[in-house]
Amino acid sequence: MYSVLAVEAFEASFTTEGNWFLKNVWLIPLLPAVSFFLILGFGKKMPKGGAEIGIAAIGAAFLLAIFANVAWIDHRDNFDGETQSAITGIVDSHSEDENALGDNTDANALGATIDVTDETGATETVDVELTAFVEAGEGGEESHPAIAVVTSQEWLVNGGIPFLVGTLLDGPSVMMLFVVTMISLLVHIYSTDYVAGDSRFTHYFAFLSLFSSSMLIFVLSRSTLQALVAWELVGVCSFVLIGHWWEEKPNSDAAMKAFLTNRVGDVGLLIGIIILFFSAGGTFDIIRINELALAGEISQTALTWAAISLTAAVMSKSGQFILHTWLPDAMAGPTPVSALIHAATLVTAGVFLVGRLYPVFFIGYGIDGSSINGLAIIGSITVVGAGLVAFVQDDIKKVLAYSTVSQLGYMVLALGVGAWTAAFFHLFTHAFFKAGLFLGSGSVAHAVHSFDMKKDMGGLRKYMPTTHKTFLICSVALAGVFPTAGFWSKDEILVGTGGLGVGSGSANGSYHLMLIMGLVGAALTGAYMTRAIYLTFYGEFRGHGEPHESGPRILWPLRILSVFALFGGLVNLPPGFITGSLEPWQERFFHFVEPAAAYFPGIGHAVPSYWLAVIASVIGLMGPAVAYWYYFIKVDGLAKSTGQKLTELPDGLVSNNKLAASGHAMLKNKYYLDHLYNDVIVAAVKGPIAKLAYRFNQHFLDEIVDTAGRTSVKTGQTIYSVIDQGLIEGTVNGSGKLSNRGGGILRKIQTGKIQQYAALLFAAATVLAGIFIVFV
Amino acid sequence: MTSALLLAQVEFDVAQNIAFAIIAAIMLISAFKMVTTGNVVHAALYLVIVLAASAAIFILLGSDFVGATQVLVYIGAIIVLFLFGIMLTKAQLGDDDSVEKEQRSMGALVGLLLFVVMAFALIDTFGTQEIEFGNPEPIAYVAEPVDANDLPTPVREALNISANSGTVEISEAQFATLLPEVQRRVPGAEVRGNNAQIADAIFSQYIIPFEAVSVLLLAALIGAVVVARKE
Amino acid sequence: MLLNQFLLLSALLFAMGVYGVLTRRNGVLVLMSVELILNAVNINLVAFGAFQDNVQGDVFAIFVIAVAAAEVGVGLAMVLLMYRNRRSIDFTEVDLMKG
Repeated sequence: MYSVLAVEAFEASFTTEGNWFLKNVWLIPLLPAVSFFLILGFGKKMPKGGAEIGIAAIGAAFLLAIFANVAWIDHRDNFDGETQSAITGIVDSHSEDENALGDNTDANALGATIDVTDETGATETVDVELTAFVEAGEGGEESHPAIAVVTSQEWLVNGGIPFLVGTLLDGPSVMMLFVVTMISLLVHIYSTDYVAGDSRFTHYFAFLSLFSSSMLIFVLSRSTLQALVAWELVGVCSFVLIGHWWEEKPNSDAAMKAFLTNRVGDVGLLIGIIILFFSAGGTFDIIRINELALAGEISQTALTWAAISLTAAVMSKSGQFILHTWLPDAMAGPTPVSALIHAATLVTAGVFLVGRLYPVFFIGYGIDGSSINGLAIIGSITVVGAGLVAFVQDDIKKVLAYSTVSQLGYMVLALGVGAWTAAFFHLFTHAFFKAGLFLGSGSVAHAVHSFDMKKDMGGLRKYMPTTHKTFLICSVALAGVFPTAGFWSKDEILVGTGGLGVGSGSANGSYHLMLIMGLVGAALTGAYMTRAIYLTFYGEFRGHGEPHESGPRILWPLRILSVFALFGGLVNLPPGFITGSLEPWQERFFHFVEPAAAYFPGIGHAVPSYWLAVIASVIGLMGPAVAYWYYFIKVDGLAKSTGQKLTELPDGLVSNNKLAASGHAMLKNKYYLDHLYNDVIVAAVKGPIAKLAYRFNQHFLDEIVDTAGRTSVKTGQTIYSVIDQGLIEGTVNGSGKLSNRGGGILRKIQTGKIQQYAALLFAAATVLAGIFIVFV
Repeated sequence: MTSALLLAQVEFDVAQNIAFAIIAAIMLISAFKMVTTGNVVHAALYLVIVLAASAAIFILLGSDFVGATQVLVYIGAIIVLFLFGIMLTKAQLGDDDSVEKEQRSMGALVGLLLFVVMAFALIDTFGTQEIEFGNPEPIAYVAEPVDANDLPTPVREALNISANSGTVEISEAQFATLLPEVQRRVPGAEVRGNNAQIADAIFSQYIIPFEAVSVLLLAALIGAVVVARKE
Repeated sequence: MLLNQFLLLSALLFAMGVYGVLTRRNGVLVLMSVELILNAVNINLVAFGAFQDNVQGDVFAIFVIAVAAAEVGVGLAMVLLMYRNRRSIDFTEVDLMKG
């Protein structure tokens, strides 16, 4: 079925050997899954309502995830398993491919390119992507590729095709293990305070556990089928958690909306998986599909269609324009759940899916050497579109929700332009500051019992200093200000677009539009966060009562997350940033996360440029500067001079300029997408289409004979008046009457009496049986 | 009654056929009364007779377990359910014989047509094939002394034992020489019964249908409660 | 004994059941007629089981009995519901599907 070459390559790109923590990584999702059942079963009887089981399980999973990360780092550098010799050949061809991909001769913006003389004495130019091999070359040893550690279990065999389940552990999944377990642990701790006293406290923690577990299963999925199951599980859990307070109609509506919108994408995922299954010769194995796609064994057409179908899945799950509308509504859920959804689970699933099946997209969309493709377009529209909407939201959580949509747009954009590592790096850093922001907004809401920034907040920095500080740090990181985490990841994405000549042609293509959209998005991000911070923490307090700072179980997660938001970017500094040479420690993230094996495409890595970083920073700060001038100087000044509690200028642009007003209205209505879905599509199905079907039933079928009769009569009358009477008249009228009477007779059968229907049924069946017996 | 013409052509076991004829006659008459009587309660009682008669038919066919189940489930439970239904719906206990003539003749026509087609197909296909009651092999034999006079004639003939030879004991070696249908008539031979076979079949070969039926019963139970519950 | 004597008996019973289903106006009586039909099927099954000298017929007859019990339960519940809504269980009055 497969060519010998493909099978050999397949066997060589993973191993079943490795550290205990790598081979038993299935324990990590198992722990929260067990805790789910334990909490459901015994949670109510526990002194803390089951929260302790959940925290213990996710805490243990977090520890295991750390050990797995450490073991992976060791494995990546020192793996010396049995399959070593087989790998070498592939690695060689792989590195040749990479060399062929990027012409690096002038990629020296940072002086990052160095010449390496290997043992044969030939001099070759090596850019950053070859770090792993550089080390090997320098040491004179054999290279150690990042080959995945897998375990597999035959789930069932159908038609001779084994359906595998198991774990596939490599760079991206090991990173996700860390992110998911850490955010989940912090959210668990935070929730013990936040949802304390809730009537469904136990139920909440049970599903928090299952949610984490299903996301962990997803990132470890061995086969597309397993990924689908986990994907659906994640969807179900999000439905349950978003609708946690289902007694209020908007909440249950939001849950339903999230679920149904996701179903749209799930169909895409299913179709994509089916296309890949058949075009890869009947396999669900992710590694094999990737390898066959790269080896050119799957036709370009099939890959393109699979990529398009999977893009639909990503659009719904990761909230990309135009299927993003559920995500802001999902704010109806408890805030810690929002943090978990937006930072680590659920929405990142879509991004991870693309990263996992990257060859399908890389080849299918022809990412390499192009300047536009589906993923990049969707991503860049989302970056700007959601950023604009975030600017007019009054609900602090909705600002953050649209911000997430926008940031996910960055990740999808990065994947679309081939900057795989940048996308995952942004996912990594974004998880920390977005979780920090959501938990911070939860802390604020906990104090003022509202999410409305304009009505119930303002001036909170005096009452909640710690929340204010952490929120500020996370916002700065989100806006991508040097040197916080967001700066490094955003900059890497921007340079990865390769547009307008940045990266000196070392990127995969030249995506000019994406670079511009990314820069605009960066400015917007800073602007809407400045507005949110002003409305929440500055000015005069507009709410009721005396807000007070939250307890330690809420503040400590905030502090931890803001530390990560500040320093998380340091794991992936651009090469040569400090020393000007390819010191290994500056490329840790790329080195450990990006798979360098035969199932991953040889993508180019853009060389960072100082001037882009400076320009991006300037543009990124322009947004906040304008917002700062408007809110902190104009609005605040006016408020102080008039003594009013103002949130906007009374005679601002919106009230004076017609164009601005209509733009504002459009943003307020979120581009009328919900109207499109509800009023146009749903109403069309409910209204005209349903009516049409009803009419078809009622009139068309029943009266078709009558109508035929009537038409005949009319025709007859026309002929009568126009041509002649006599014979013709008689015939025509007769036929008309006949049709009419026939209709009448047929109508009589529709008596509505069930027993007559049954009699007809029996009689017809008997007659048919009789015919069958006699003639057959 | 129904197959008198066919029966005339073949030899048959008189006692069993007489029993069959009686049962069949009772059954058909009751069934006819059931579908024509105007009295609802009488109809239910006629149904009891039909069901009991069919239990008798099952036993006649050697399926005593099905017969017993029939009596327990149908006559014991389902009929009671019907009587409850009759009471709860306050159906007229007296005559309910106002069925339109047109509808009745139509029903009769359909029923007759159905029977003719089926009868034709059955006679055409199975003709005069006989049911051979099986002779399952004994699964165990424990030799025990027995009066020769009590032994069945085929056993005595096969082993050359005269009726007046007093107490004899048939050894296992002798037992092994007998044909299966003779073996099972020797005292002390243990025959695997029909019930044991049914149990084996249900809990091994048909375990999944069995489970499915149990789920179906549960679903029907819940469904009935939901449908009939007062709001 | 002949196989056909049982099969013909069952066919006659079946036909009578169909007649009952088609002509009885009382919902409960219609359900009873359905039982007649199911019973006819059971006789068929057991007769074929004996004919082929195995227990499959018996096993399926037992399944049919169980399914019939479920059917009666749900059917009577529906008749009861109909009675509650319309104060009548006359099937000839149920003609909302009239065209």
